[in-house]
Amino acid sequence: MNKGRVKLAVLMAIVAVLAFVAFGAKKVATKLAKDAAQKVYVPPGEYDEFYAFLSGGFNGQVSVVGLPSGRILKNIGVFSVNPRNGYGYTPETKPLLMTSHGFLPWDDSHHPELSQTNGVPDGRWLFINANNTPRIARLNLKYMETAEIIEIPNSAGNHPSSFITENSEYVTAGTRFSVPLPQKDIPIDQYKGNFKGTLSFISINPKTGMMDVAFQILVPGFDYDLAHCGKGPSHGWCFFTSYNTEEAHTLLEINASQHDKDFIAAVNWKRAEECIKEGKYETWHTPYAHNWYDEKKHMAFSEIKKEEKVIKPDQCPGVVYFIPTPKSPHGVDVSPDGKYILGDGKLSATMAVFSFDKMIKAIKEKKFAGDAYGIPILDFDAVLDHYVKNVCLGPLHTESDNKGYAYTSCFISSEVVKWKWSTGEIVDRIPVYYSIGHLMIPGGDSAKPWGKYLLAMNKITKDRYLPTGPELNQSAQLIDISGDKMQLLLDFPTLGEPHYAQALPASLIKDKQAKIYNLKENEHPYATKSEKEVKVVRKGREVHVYMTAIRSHFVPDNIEGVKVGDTVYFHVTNLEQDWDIPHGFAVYGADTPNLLIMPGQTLTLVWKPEKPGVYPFYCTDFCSALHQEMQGYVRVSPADANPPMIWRGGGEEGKWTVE
Amino acid sequence: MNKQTGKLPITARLLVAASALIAVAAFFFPLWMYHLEAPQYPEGLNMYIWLYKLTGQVYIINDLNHYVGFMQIKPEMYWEFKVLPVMTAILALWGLWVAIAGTVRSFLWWLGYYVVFAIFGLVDFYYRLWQFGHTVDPHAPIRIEGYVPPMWGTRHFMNFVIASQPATGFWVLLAGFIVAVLALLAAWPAIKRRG
Repeated sequence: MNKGRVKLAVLMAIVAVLAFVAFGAKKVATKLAKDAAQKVYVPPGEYDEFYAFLSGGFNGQVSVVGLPSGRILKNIGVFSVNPRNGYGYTPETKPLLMTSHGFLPWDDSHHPELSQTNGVPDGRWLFINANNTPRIARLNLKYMETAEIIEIPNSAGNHPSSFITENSEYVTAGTRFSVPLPQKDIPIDQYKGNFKGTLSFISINPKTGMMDVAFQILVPGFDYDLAHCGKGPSHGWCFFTSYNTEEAHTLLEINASQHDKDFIAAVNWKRAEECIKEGKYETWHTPYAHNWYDEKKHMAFSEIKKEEKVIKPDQCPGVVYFIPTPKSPHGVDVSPDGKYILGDGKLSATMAVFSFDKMIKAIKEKKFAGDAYGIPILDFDAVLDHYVKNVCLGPLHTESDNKGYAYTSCFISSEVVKWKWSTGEIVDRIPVYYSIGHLMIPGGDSAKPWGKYLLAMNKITKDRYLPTGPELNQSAQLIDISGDKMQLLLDFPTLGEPHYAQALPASLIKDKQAKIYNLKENEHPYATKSEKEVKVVRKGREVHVYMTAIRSHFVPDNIEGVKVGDTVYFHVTNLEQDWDIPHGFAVYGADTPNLLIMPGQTLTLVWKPEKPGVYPFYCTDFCSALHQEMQGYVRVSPADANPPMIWRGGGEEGKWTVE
Repeated sequence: MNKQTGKLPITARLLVAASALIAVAAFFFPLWMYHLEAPQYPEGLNMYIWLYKLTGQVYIINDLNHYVGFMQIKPEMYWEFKVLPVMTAILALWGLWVAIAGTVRSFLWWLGYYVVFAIFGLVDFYYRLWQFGHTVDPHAPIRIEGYVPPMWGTRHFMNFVIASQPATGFWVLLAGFIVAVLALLAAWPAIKRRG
């Protein structure tokens, strides 16, 4: 035999096998991709199965996203002004952004949480916290707009917020950045013992949703990071993670990472309620803003409150216990049945699953391992149920499905790990791109998760999309969790940095969505409900234009008589009652964004003209075939001039009213 | 039966009473409906014409009408909305009276009134449609000529398909009329005897 021939034959055989394997693999990959595409494909004109609400992080907003398609449906201004529609710029919405520090146009929005009934999201409201200047907002899910914002007094870095109790009794707030409480001017290196934190409970009126600072628990100056409240058997308790139990005030990266265990603060809020009833609290007087939007008046209002009930744990024994938890835990999560409490130990590869029953037993039997500033520390082994061993590197957050499994996000090893709540047994892993922070399963932190999908919200995007200069959007990944193995379905970019999200079946709220504001019910003090009611009123240096907008004209569209030094208020009412016919309004030289006025709504643009001339205004939303014609002029005369005070529009001409 | 005074047979009287009561039902249902569809309105816009009012998305339809200079449809522009309910009430009350009195003479007058009422209603309706299509604002952004909306059926107009058809109230009145005709058949021998 020719050795060369044999070699060639063997080589050819290897090539053939390799080609076959490669071809087969490609086929499998194509099949998988096709399979995934089908799972996220929502045909034109059809609807997504879930509404997801993603926090916008540093954009201070909330994105409404359809799942499984990943399409952005809306971006809602919450803690940040929104030039798209004038939110936070108009007199109607500015009061929502008032704080004890004055008007704040921005914040860092973190954890959205849906209101719950019996531990299940009910689709009434969405709460979200502001981390920078502590606040909690409530969004009305009928209008998908911000309805209320309450400032949290005696706090800083409102991170363990806004987690809800089983029947929306409270949402939580807390201090990630402990500070002197009440605030005072002291050297920073006197941190230890002088800096304090608070864990706050914000009550929710079950009918109106209106929030109030019910009580605040004064706790040691650790960094309180995340929270979740109990459900079922553990209803009545809320759990807060902490790090920096070292009480470091500089180079926390090192100095706050020395202890092997930090704490979960277990708060018995029913006990707190008892103490409040028994008068076991102090009344403090730190001012804080409470702002709400009146749907009928189309107007927000702001008040400063100055009274809060502060509970000191030593005056209310049993209100809070510390559970030692492996190294600098980040998230704290409760299993859907309310039996297990999990501390996701950020710097530990092993997670501790605590038993609520064991915790109660340990408290009864006083199994304590000392105390921290008078707060009992529970014996770790007495509370521990089991470990999830070698789960991953950097476990941050855990959500649940409807089959008894937990899914943990791992920042450092960039993956999602699926494990069994009851045993801690790891059953599956899937890589995510890159460095996941929060993850979300529809209803995944409630008593009855809907399951089906998992949304990974990743902190690092890098090469996942076409590059867009140095600044990239964050990235989310949709994972199918309906089978035994997790399957990556879809990548889509997100606006801002979503710290957590919530989702519920679209059918729960889809048909309750408002389409218009009813013009007849519009009680805005400057509403103009028909073109017959149009007027221009001078009150000293204020000019109030009672204006209407309807396809495709403003009335008035000629205004003469404005003088330099006047402040002009364009109160524009959109007379339309037809779905999706907003009108926009912008004036040349105005220093605020346009108004985007929904049908039946009244909004106000405030304008201070500085130079004489004739200034056009126009509709900014392409409303109709004659949208381009939807324009008008304001004449501005010198301050000492005496121009005629007239208006024209809708075929009419009128004189101003002078008051 | 009383042959001398030209009395109606009992069947005819009952049928007249039934017809009168059926006419009362016309107050509770729209007589006619318009359904408009366009690319932007896949869900459609509806307008319902009643004896005494208009319902549906009239406000939105009016807003759209201004592009082509159609008049703004407002119930106060039409005296019919005051007269039609009175005419229907008369029809019903008179019918009941005919049933009680039971004379052939009163029955024939009443039936005649019903016929006049029906013809008046339909002719007036058509006139109003014609008037609507021929009274356009000459300064409207889009000019159209002599368009008459359909009275019964479907017609294209600009981006809209406009469908018009009788609604429950009309069918109620028609049923009332048919019952009245049945009464006429029942009364026929009595009428013939009366000569």
